[in-house]
Amino acid sequence: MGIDAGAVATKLVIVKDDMSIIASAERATTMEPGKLSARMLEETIDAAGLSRDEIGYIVATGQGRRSVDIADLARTEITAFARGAHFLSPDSEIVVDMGGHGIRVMRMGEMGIVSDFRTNDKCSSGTGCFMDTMAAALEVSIGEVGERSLHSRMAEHVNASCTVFAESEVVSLIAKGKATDDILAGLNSMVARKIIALVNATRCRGKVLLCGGVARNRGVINEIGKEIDRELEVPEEPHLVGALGAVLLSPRKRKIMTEEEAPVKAEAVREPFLKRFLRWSA
Amino acid sequence: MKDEGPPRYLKDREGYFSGEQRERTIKRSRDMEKNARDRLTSKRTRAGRMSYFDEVMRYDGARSQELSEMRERGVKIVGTMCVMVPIEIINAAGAKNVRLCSGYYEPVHPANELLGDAGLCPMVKSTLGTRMVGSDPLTSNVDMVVGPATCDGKMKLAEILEDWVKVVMMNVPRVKIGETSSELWVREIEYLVRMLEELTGKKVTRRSLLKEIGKWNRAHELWSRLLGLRRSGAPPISGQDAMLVAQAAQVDDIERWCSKVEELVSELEDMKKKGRSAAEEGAARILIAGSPMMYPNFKIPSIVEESGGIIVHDELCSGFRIVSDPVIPDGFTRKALLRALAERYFFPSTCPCFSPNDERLRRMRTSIRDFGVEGVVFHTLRGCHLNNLEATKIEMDLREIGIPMVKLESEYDEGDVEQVRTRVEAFVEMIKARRGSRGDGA
Repeated sequence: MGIDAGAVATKLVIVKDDMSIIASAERATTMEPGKLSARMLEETIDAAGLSRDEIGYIVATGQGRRSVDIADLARTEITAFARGAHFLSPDSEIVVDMGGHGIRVMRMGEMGIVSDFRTNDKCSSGTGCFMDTMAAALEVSIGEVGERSLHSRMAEHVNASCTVFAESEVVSLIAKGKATDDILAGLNSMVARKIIALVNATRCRGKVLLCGGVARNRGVINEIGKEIDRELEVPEEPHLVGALGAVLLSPRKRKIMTEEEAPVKAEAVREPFLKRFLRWSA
Repeated sequence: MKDEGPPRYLKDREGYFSGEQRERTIKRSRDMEKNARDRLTSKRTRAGRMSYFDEVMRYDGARSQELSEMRERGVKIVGTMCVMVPIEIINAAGAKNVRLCSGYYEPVHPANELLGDAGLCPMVKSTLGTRMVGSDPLTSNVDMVVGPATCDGKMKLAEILEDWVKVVMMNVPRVKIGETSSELWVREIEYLVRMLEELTGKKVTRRSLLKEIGKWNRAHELWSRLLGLRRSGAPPISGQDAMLVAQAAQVDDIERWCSKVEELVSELEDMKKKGRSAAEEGAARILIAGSPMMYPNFKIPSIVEESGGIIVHDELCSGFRIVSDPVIPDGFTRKALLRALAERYFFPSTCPCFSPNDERLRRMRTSIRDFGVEGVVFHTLRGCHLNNLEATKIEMDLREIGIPMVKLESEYDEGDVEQVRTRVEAFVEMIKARRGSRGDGA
């Protein structure tokens, strides 16, 4: 089982030995990630009709990983996302985790091992909580942001990338009577520019896999797809990639990753995921 | 205070800060240093002889008191603001040296009050703040400050410090291959000699120079022995401790420092024989580069060594470079000795304020090879433009030899510790994973 205790949301995935997903869950992260993950585990196994004994090794990741005391192992989200992404899309060279508080761009080496990574420094620009703030200013629910921005005919231009300044820019756009959809489209394209800049900093031209919660925003994905000039892939449930990667970091699952030994088997276990995580290209 | 003179930054500096603010700065500095020291001393495997260096670097420690007693007896104390100041000459003129660069977090706030919260180097602000509120007895008790004009921050800091103390600004030729560079720097060294002689009233002679050069060359020799213990296998000393030892050399009496380091080295050699290591099993071998980390600002190195890494080497002006190269005179006249000193403090300096700075890349490659380095942690202080600018070049160069590098930017506060920790942990995980995959592939 894998738990990704992120800055904004905590995600949980329970996986069978053959790597098919039994259950997954997502909740907003509370002040006590340890208690929250224990409760989520209880709820999830109840709903799936499992017992606690059937859960084997638990790996935690995300910013709250060290508070998750039910876990047997804790690994950083950078390692976990890379591992999960490599499992889903082994030919991706760049993995982008667009999370609640951090954007992490990882360059993949052999066998899902990170060879280089970059993160947003101390700036919240372009992260999930940036979008939360903007959606609140526009009185739009965060889930609708992507969908609504697709209806925009003429996107507004948002120049500021600082969360605080961008919010005041959004407020002044509202005051000018601009359409909400157009403002949202402008924000999405700003986030996309931010992410493309980080991807370009890796100086790598290979295929890009986008994951993390922000990858559920179709508006951002579309904008990135237009500008990035690289092959792009987005899994169906991008927010679960970290938790999935955590599962793969448990000692028992590790051998699945050694594809040189059993390429056929690796393809077979990946199969159920590909049904679940549909490939999406821009 | 003179009636006429250059314009001052703090005209009304008397009474600018309340006594309460001074007390608060002193208390927080003291607490911070104590925390840093507790972190160092709480390590399971640590040489017992390290306690001497803890005491030298301690806030208001024995050395600090010793220096203020000396000053009362009339000995002149000279503050240095950079590793490029030849300490031998200060001592040859009969004065004592103290490095002023501050690693305390709290004095940043008074400096912010004066300069505004612009994106300036926190080390510059902290050093200034320390002097403004007089929060550190070690650095407040100086008769003269020598400030080489290296980076913009250091240069303007020296200028501002003129409000409090006499400053000798040295014109550092920043273009290393320029035709006049070497000549100019020798002239600047001669100027420093004159200013020091004026201060102490003693002549810098051939004999006194030779004596001091001998002491420092001995220090270099011992330092090389200490470095040798970190080259391979499990190092018996952590990177933080090694950095502390090096920084003590810029505050302590160098002869006493040498004898203490000699004792430390033999203890470490013994530990190494017994297989006692400061690193955990299979720790990632890290080289630290970039902006200086003055004690007690050991935030980055302590995170590295708490996250499964061991610092086996560094290229910092707050560490390795302090005692790194010997002075090699090609003659024994006073002039030849000064020229040799000038060369020692100029050419081996790999500060990013120089251009071209290929020496830095070359030295880094050599130390990566010699010390079995697996990854480089490149640290920049906020507002350290020169290191920020050079980081990309270094990263590209390291990529060619397959060494990963992570760049971390930090400030003088504890706010970013956990963010930095996540990145360092991921970096260490990455190094260890690469190690595994390389082993399997071979």
